Amino acid sequence: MSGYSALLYLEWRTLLAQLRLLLRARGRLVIWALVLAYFAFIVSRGRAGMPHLPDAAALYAVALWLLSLGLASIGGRRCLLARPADLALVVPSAIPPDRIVVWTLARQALSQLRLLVVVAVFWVPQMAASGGVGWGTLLYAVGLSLIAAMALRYVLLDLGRWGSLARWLLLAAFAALALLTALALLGDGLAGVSQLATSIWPLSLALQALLGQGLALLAFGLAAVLLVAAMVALAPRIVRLGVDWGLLPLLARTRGAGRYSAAALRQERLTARVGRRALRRRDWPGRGDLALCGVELARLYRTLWPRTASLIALLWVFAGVAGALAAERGVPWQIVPAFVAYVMVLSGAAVSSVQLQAVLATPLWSQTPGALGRKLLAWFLPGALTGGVGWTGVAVGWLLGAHQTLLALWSLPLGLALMLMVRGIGLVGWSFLPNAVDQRVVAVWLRLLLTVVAAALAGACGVAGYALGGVGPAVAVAALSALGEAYLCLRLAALRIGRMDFVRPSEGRA
Amino acid sequence: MAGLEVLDLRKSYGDVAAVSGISFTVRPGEIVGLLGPNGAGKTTTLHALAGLVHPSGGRALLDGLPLEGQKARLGFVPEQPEVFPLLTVEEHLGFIARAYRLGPGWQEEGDDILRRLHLAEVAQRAGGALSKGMKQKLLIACALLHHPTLLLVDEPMVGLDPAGQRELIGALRAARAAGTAILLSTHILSSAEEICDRVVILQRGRLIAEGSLADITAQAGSLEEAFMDLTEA
Repeated sequence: MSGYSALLYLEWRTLLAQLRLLLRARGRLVIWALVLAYFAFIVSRGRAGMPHLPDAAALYAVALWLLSLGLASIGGRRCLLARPADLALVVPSAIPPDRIVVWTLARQALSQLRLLVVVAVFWVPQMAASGGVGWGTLLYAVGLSLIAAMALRYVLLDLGRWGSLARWLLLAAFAALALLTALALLGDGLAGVSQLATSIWPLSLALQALLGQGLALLAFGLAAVLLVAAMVALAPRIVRLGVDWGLLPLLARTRGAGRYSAAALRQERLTARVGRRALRRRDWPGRGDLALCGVELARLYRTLWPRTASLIALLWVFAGVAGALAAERGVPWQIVPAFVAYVMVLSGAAVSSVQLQAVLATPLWSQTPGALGRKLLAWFLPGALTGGVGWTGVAVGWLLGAHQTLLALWSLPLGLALMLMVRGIGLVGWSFLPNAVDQRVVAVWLRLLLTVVAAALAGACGVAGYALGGVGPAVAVAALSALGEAYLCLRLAALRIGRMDFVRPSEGRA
Repeated sequence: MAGLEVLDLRKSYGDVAAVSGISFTVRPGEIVGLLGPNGAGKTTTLHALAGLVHPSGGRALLDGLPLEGQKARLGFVPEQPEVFPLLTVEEHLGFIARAYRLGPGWQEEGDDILRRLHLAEVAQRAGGALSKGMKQKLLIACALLHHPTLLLVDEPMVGLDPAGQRELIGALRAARAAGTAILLSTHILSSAEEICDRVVILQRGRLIAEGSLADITAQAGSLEEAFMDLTEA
């Protein structure tokens, strides 16, 4: 048990230090008080027996849960060992690899409990209260499934290319299940929801577990135990992969030499090449802006092309075929655009924190003379637009398949504007709470609330536009308002980031 | 043979051979300098010996047994001094004591090491608040606390001021006197000349010279000249 006692000591002392820091920061205490007050309010509402839609709530929670699990199980290899000190003090120590892996799993499952916040913000507390499910059961079900998802991630990690393929198939399966949930909810109406949910496995299992049924919970427990056992059996290889793909590239980035691993080497060479080429072009407008844009585009190209891009294109085609089939059977066309918007805006806001610390440490940010706001915009646009095109393409494909050509055309700018808004909120969220490990839950909560408010504002503008002239003006006004919100987010983020110590633009700040 | 034996160690990243079949030994109570230009494979060699990367081939033995199963007898100090930012200096030693199941006397031992490395006055300071040199010294303290049979040190002088370098050299000499086999990679040839009993010189992943300082410097006159002659040849 020596390994565990050392790792528990490490976590315990870290937690105490975090609490000491939290108690010294009044601002953070206020935010935490607000979060806790919010949860107390939600739970008390549920207990008061207010009118609910338990079936709908349950299915929304399950859909969100499935997607979250899918994302957790495909998580990147870099997540395995994320702290540079692990390389010096944990991995080479006498602590056996199986204990390191179990410890990492427990840490990550705990940190992923922020997903609970996502679920809690919307439906689960009310569902739990109305369905008679206690918080203990709920935590047990969600915790077990998270552990199973994480363990699965590590087991897949060991399978190399096959593991990569399996991860994508898994996410596709989770997404399909979540889509089915939405279809059931919006297409068949509430009457058919329960029937569908109890007839499709493992959707039924997930729902039963959330509703506290013993056998389902047992099944989740068994799955978690089996996956953790497989993970422990593969522990030495998993730790080595974690070092090679996680810690060494991380150290290479901070060291600036990029020679620790093949992956880091390739990435560093690419960034340096694009950066140098861009910097030589003194006549380029923006003085640094387009260089950053180029680096970001190159990064996206390398990470997305050709495999991920092909899969996304395949998904669009699939959506088109599904749209055509659905139209033939009289399924309402609104279902998929509503689902895409739901996932993109709410789930997207919950899970996508825009992290800038590594990017801002590169010389392109501090050594080029352009204003910070413009550089931020140039760096921000490629990622946000790529994400927006990926998601919106699904809705566009579906609408084209369902012969809603005009709506398909309208949905593209709206989808892109919404993604820019979501990512802009992520950026602002990071600029207010950068690197704060103890603030992760607060950051998710803040992003969600900001997104709900921003989306409601854009929606209200859209309704006003509809009243003035129909669908076209409604979409245009909603998209414009979302764009305006994204722009405001960028300006605010630039203002905040400009005050951080590690950014020193040589001239001008946004 | 006692001590560390590295036999035909190899490590490749795809087509790139970072280390190409090197063999050398480090005896107990001996400091061997691992020298070479950038990209020679020094860090990769140390990472492979520390179990951080999986060698593509070859073996490493410690006192005749595979090194892989003897992590408790190994100390490793990486080039980049990364410590737990929220743990104090003293708590780092507490973590190491638990990881290696050290007996009740570890605290006195730890205090002594901290004093020798001039870290006693910052024992209650968090890792994140330490300077780079202090972090480096803290990692060395952590590596020495459990009396390793083999100590692997990657570029220990980087980031240390002259006084820090002096303290480090003193600590390594004390470990050598206690019988620890030390393999140390460094760019600073004057330090290597001062502290190492033998040197191993690598270039492009291959071992190009190995021997005592006297042997290596016999013809060129100094280690720097010998190094330049060998690596430019």
